[in-house]
Amino acid sequence: MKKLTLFLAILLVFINIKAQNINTETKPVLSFDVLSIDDLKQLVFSSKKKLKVVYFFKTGCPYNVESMPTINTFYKEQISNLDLFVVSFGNKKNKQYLQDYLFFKGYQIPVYIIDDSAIFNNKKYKRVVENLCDSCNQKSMGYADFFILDENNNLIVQSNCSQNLDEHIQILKSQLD
Amino acid sequence: MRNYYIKVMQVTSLFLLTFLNINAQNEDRFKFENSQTIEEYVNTHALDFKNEDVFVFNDFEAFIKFNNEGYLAGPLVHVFNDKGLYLESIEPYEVEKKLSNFKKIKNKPSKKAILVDDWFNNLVNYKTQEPIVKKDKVDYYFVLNWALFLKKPDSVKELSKWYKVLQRQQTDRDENIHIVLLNMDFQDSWNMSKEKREHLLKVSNQ
Repeated sequence: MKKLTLFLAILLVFINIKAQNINTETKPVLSFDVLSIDDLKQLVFSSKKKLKVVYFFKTGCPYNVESMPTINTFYKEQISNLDLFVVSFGNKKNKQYLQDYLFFKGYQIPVYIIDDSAIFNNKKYKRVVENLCDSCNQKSMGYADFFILDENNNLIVQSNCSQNLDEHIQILKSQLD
Repeated sequence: MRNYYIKVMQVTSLFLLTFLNINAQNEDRFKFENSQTIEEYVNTHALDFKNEDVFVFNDFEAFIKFNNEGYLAGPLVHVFNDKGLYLESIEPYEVEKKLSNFKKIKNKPSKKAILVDDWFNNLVNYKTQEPIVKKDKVDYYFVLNWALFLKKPDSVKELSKWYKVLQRQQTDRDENIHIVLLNMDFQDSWNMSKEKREHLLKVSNQ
């Protein structure tokens, strides 16, 4: 009986450690890893938050440049209420550049770089939308757009490129009310 | 006295060469500043400068030496290595890549590189007038040049962002660096005679 108790105790400790590891791996505070779309999908879908925001980002997009400070502030304020996945595209060479850019600007957001070496499409975000959000209308989206999934990975709302920054923030805030 | 006026003429000619748009300004570009006017400028433009990081030249001779060696320009960033040897000046267009990633900074000083001590020995805090205390065992010394006479508040605001990036390098990445915000204006604290002040302003604002 003592041996069984000891075995169960060790098993419980092991399971607990393993669970903690999984939790750490699935929610990095800052990530600059180069991922595949499937990796990103797994990361987003495994999040248990009620709101999961997938936001597209490109350093050369003027609209992104304009909206990023607001997104950064919004994330800092709402970090406990949602998971943010800032999705960029590139390869390992872009990783350092993007890291430097974000550091220079002082942004504290989780960024995931999707390896675009195998994506032969100039609208790369479309591939991500297609893979992560069946219900999204990807044709109306662009860089600086986002979609929000619920805890079961169903679409709650998406933005579109005809909306301005204020409208985007209103959409985000309305989900937190 | 004669040497003094020769120096004044030297500095005048260099000013004119360096800042050719002087004449485009209606208002006098160069004035004598003090801790109060510097603070007013910092507050007006909401510059998040720490008092202990802001330094000025301790006298007119130091100013002239700095100018004659061609460093009186801004806003820009001068970098010295861990041995205090001058590495390079970073222009605004390259601050993003170099201040966010020190590996991008030139790593070999030239054979004639000046020492950071040559500058620091001539600097005092703008408010306390205390000499600068050089930090030892740092990896880099950064000197950020700015001035009211630049008449470019937006550029100085940009410089304040560079200053914040360097502060984040210290706090977020544990970089061991020494940051100096060098105000290059003429200073009341130089205690120049009225005659000399007027002459200097006259030739500088021509």
